[in-house]
Amino acid sequence: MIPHARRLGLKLVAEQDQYLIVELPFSTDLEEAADSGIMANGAITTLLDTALGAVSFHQFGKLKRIATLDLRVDYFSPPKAFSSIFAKVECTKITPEVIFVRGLVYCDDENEPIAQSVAAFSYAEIPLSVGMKK
Amino acid sequence: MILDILRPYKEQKDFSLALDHSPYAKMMGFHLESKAGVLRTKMKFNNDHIGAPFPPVLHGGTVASLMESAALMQLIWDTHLKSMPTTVDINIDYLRSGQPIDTYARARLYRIGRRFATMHVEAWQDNREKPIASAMLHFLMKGQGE
Repeated sequence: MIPHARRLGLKLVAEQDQYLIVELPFSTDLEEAADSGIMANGAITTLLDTALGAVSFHQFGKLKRIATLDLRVDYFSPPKAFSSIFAKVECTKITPEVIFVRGLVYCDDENEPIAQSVAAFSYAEIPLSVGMKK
Repeated sequence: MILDILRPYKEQKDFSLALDHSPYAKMMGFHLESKAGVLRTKMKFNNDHIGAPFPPVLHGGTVASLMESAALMQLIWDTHLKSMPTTVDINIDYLRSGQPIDTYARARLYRIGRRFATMHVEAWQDNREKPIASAMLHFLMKGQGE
C-alpha cells in the first residue's frame, strides 16, 4: 500500500476492465477550513494522481516503473460537505512510451461531476538492480 | 470567514501563521515563511508523504497540493480580495522525483484581471535551481476591492 494513499484513507471500490473507481472517505483532518465539511482541493488532486497512476499500472500484466509526466485538474464546484469523494478513471491511449489517462470526480452522482482530470505517465521496465535478488 | 482570520496577519506583514488555520495544511505539514513580503511555503517531510517505497519518493499529490496552497496564499497576499478565490484549474509538470526531504514552493502572480488570476509555481528541495515540479493555476475571484 502507498503510504500517502493510506494516510488519506483511499479505497479501491471498483475494478473493471475499462475503469477503476477510488474513494476518498470524508475526514475532518482533510478539511480546508475547520468545521466546514469541505475537503481540500489538495486531497482531491492526490485522489486523482493516485487513481490515475493505479489505472496506468493496471494496464500491464507485469510490474513497470511509472512516473507522472503531467497532471491537469479542472475544479467545477466544491465537493458536498461531509461526503465521500470518488474518482472514476480510465486509460485513453497507450503508446510505446506514454500512457494517457483521464478521470471524473463526483460525490454521489457520477453524472454530476465536481472535477475532471487528464494525465500522462511514462513507463519503463523496472531495472534489474531494483527489487531483484542477486 | 477565512479571509477575516488572515487580515490581521497581512496588516502585520507576517503571513507565517496563515496556514495554521487549515486542518489539511496542518496534517500535510505546510508552513508559510514570509520574509520582507516574499512568501515561501514549506512541506516538512514526513513518512506519510511517500508515494512509492522502493526507492522512497514523494507522492505527486503532496507536491501538487503544496503548490496549490502556495499559489492561493500568494494570491491573497498580493491582492485585496473580499472573498476567498476559488481554484479553476491546476496544470502540473513533474520534472524530477521528490526525495524524502523537505520541499519548498514559491508562487508568482503572472497576470491578474478583474475576475481571473493566473499563477505560476515552482517546487524544489535542496537546490533552488533544480525544481522538482512546476505548475500553472487559474483562480476565480469574486468581489475584488480596490
